[in-house]
Amino acid sequence: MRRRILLSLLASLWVLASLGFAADTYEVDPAHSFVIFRCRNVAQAGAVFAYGRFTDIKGTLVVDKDPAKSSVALTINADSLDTGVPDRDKHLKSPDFLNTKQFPTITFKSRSIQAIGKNRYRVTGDLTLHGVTRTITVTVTKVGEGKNIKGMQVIGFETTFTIRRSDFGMKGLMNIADDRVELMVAILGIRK
Amino acid sequence: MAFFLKSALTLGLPPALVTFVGLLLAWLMARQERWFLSRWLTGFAIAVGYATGHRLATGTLPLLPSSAEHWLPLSAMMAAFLGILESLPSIPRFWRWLWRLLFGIAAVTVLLLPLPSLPPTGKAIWSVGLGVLMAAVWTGLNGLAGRVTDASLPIALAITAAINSAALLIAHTATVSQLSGVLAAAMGSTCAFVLWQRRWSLAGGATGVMVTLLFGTGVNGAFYADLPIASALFLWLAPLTGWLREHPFLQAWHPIASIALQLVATTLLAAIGLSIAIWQLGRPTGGY
Repeated sequence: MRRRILLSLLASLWVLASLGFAADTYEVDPAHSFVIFRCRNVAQAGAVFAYGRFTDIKGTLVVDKDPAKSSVALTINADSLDTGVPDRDKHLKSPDFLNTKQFPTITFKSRSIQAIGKNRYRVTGDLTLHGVTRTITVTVTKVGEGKNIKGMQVIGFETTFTIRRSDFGMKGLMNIADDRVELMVAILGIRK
Repeated sequence: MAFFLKSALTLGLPPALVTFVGLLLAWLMARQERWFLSRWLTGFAIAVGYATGHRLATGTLPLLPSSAEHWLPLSAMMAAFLGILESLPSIPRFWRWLWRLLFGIAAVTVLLLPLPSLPPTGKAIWSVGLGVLMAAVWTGLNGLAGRVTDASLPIALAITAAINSAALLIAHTATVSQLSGVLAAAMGSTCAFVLWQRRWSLAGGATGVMVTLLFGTGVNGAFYADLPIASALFLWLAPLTGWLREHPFLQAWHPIASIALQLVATTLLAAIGLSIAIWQLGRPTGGY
């Protein structure tokens, strides 16, 4: 009997301990998450950038006290691209650039996360864009965390980085849009 | 305007030159009475000319396609290579028709396979339907090329490819539009060659390459961009107007008059295709 009680106690302690150190899982809040891009408009003599955003973002953040045990997985609906000019949107979604009918999603899945300072992390992962997967490394900043006005636990991160569209198989029309595309990704996660 | 002119020259001249050099090789073979090789090389001249322009327009010429339009140069080379079946005189008509049908279905299938929004049955129906149409247009053009050895067929194909290019630009795909422009340049070069070397036939290899590219750009525009399928249908059928000249009424006409009528009919059909695209999509605003 004593042994049974002791075992139950140990089991309860183990469960409590594991709960205390368990990673928190957050779901990406599309209403407060942004994927914004800008690309130099070569057709306009390179005198201006074209700006746009993707409005449909989904994903999961796993946040552990140990960054190495944390992870991020994002899925962006490529067809949700919006630059404010419908003809430009259709062109960017066409086979000239994103080819959204063949490649409807853009995904990012982390491979490793490492702390590099207070609230700063180096995230390495696989970015799949236009059907091509490449490993990229970005510096991510934790913007903040806490309870939102609905009392839900939230956490926010953001990063800015540059890719070359030619690395992802979009090699045409360099005389219209520059090869380099700057991306700003801001994610708000709501704890499940 | 200078931008479009520069694009037309940089993308149009190299494929036109490569095609012309290829046709010269075919002509040299013909002079040595190697007719079989000569006909085969005619198809290759157009395919290699197109591949040159494709590389310039898209910046890539992969052997393992990852995007639907990457299949175009491969399909053209395959059509040229398998054009050997068209050039062999001993192959019965039925088997030629069957191979065109199988090739047509395969060429459309590889373009539609990567399209996730189309269910497998939809892909099968479109592939078979468009494959049959492609084989029919191919047979029609091949028959025409065998009968008519003047420049009217390459001119009709160049006009169709040029109007197809405009329709694809309206369908929001400048790259596929440029690819059709490249085909127009290769056909323009063929026109120049045929005007120089009269009695040059495109039958037996070359028509397969042209049809493959005309259908390939159309399928890309219709399924991956916004080209209305009705537009594509008119553009695909436009080069067949050469058959009008076989009508007894027109055979009594002066050849130049009947060629002029054929080319007007080709332009008209292709223009209907372009008009449908403008009607459904509106004129491109451009300048963004």
